[in-house]
Amino acid sequence: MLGRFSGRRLLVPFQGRSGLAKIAISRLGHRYANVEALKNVNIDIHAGQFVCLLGPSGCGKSTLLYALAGHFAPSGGHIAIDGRAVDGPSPERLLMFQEPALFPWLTVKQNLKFALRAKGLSRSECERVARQYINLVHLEGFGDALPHQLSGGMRMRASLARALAMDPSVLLMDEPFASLDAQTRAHMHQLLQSIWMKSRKTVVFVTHNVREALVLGDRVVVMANRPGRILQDLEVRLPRPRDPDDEKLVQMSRQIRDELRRAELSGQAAKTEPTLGSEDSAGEDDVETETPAATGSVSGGVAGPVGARR
Amino acid sequence: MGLLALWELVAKLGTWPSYLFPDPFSVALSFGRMISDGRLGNAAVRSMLRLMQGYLISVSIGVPLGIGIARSSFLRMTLKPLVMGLQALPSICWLPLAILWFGLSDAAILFVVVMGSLLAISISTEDGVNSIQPQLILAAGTLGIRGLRFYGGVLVPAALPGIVTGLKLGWSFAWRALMAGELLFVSGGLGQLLTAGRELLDVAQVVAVMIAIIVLGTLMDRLLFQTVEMRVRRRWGLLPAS
Amino acid sequence: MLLIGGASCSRPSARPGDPLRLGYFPNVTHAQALVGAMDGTFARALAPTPVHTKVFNAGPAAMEALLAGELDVSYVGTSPALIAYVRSNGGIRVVAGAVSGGSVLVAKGASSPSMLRGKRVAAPQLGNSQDVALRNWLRENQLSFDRVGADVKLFPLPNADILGLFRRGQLDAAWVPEPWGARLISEGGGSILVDERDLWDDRRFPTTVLVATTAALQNRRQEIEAFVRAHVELTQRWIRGPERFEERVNEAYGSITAHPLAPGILRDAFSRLEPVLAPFPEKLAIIAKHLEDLGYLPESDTANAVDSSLLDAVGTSR
Repeated sequence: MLGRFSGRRLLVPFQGRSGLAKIAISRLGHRYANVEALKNVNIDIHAGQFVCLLGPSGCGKSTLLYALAGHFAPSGGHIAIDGRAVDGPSPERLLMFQEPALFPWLTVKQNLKFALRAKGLSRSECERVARQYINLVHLEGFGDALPHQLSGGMRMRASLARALAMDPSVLLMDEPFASLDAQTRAHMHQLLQSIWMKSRKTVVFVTHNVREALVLGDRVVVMANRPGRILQDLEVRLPRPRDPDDEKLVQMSRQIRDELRRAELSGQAAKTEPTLGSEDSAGEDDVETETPAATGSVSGGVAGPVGARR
Repeated sequence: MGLLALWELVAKLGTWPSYLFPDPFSVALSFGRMISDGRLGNAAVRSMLRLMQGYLISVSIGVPLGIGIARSSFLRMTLKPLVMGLQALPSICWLPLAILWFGLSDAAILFVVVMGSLLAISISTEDGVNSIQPQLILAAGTLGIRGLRFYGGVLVPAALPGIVTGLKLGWSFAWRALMAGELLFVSGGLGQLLTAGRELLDVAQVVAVMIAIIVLGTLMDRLLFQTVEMRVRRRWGLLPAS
Repeated sequence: MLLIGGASCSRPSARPGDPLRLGYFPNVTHAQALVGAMDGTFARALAPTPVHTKVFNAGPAAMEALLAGELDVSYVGTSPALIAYVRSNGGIRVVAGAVSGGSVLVAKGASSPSMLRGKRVAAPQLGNSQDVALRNWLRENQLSFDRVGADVKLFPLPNADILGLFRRGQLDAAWVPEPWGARLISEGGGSILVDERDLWDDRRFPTTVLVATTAALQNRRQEIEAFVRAHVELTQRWIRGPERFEERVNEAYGSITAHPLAPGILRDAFSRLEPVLAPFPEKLAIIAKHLEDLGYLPESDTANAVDSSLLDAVGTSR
């Protein structure tokens, strides 16, 4: 336990904010194949917030994101963005995936221009905007390269450039850096942070890596599985830009992991091995809280999530 | 070179009479004669024209059909069994029906060519569309790429490697169907030249035309498809790193 | 493997005692063959050697079989016979004549050569006698037929198909052997545009001849001679009693094709042909020239295509 600036004061329950929410999610639930992927999720997200959805696999974070993106209709509940119900995918709520999903037959610049054309920009504007965003992600000089000629990290940057160039109202990101190595991932965090600080876009970012969530997010929504639901809604009060090795950050990540373990232990009668990402395991800040083979359903009774809205 | 020498030797040995097994020289002579009096050129042009016509029809029906079956569950339920069933029928079996329906016309042969290659193209296209990375389709959706821009700018290019394979296959089937049709239904073209050689007991001509058919077939395959396929695979990044 | 293929490819030339294999067509221009095969004349003449028969649509197919060693003798049209003689370098010989005439160009709605412009014309097979006659006649009448956009479109088709398509209006004319000429007139509504007899001196020309392989002539001459004798006997029967003979022909025709000819058609068909025994070597030479002009044969010498020794031996030649 450190001194006055303990993690506790920098990681507090999110108090909510006044004013109209940019994204309003109420009573969201989704069920498929007898699995309750999401249960009674309620969140309001305000413009300019960088929200991270954090949790182990099966907690419904990706489901929530895809519902936000409009890629499917949830079985229950309501989502509104800018006051309007979500009724399908749209570049206004652009979704980025784990794979860069660049069109392999187009060069980086062509990938951007193609998307911009679909938006309705004139040819000269497309050229200008494409160039601008290629430079923004530090890919100048590679505009005429084909995706397969680039490294994984560069492809991700190109995908990011494409997403940003479209200037979406809301940017949704589904573990986009999960397939990158730690080094590249760290670079991407820096890049994303610096871009975000300039543009202040509303971002919803899904991850299972605690440290990543803390580096990037203003707000970390911790989720648990079986059923998928919100455990904690926390505000991160660290100044930016953030350093992943910052002691305070490390402590905060420990705090979150402890919370998750507690939630997990109290929620399960018999447990084989809790596999909370220890420092030794490969994903050192991951929050996989159960082995894939674990059976039995977890009933609700978790120590009350502090601050989360029901 | 060695093959030619062997051929000459066998012919000279006289195991078979010369009217059954021609020697290379007579074949070359027949070849030369057919080129100089224009018969070979005319026949080749006629065959190629038919092939291209039939092939273009096949492609313009087969590719959209394949895409439709891949994208629409309704079409998949109704048309796919038909496509799979008919595909088992060798193309030449369509000839009797074609002659009944279209009479003694080029249309009959075109029909055979089209039925021969259409289904293969459709099936390969469908496979090509089904093997598209789902992320690309999702990405197109989220980027707001829809309608014609989606089909022309995303779906078809994404499925192109599969489609090109289908085009290559379809061409090969079309060529075979054409030759079979021209052999059975006399109407100009290389097939007829081949049959004429047989009916006039000119086996040198028969072999010469066979060689012409092989050469033409190989040339087309190499020029058209090898290069196109290579190009597509290179651009799409499907070639192993050199 | 090549050698085994080779051995099976060239059949051993038939030896005396092996069945004698005969080819012919279901046309009344093969009258002697039809009757002889049906009433056992051939079988009796060759006994105890059995006679096996095979029916073909037209000459080129029969000649193919002859050269491949599947036939020993065959009735055939003159053009295929000459082509086979040249291509096989003397592997077959014409040993007797059989029929003269019986070859007509029947057309619907065309009464002069120029009216055939733009029409579709058929003949039984590429390189057969009618096909050669047709092409030669077209050339002499300045009608082109061999390229895209020619005056006349040619279709080699089996005789039965010719009749069917003619009736359905898909063909405008056809040069065919009898009885197909008579049937095209009666059942197809056509009329004679050209009777080939009019194109020859004294209205006589070899339509059907009897050929034998040189191998058979060498190895089983006795049997071939016996066959020629039977052929001569049949021909003389025909000359002596044409009506009776024609009826026998129709019986045989009916048993092969399952459609005997109506009496009117039968008589019409026979009105344009006659039996002959002479092979007409000088007229064969003219036909050979036509073949060369059409490009079906290279320049060749057909002087020795005819071997009349058997006819002479049998003792009757005209």
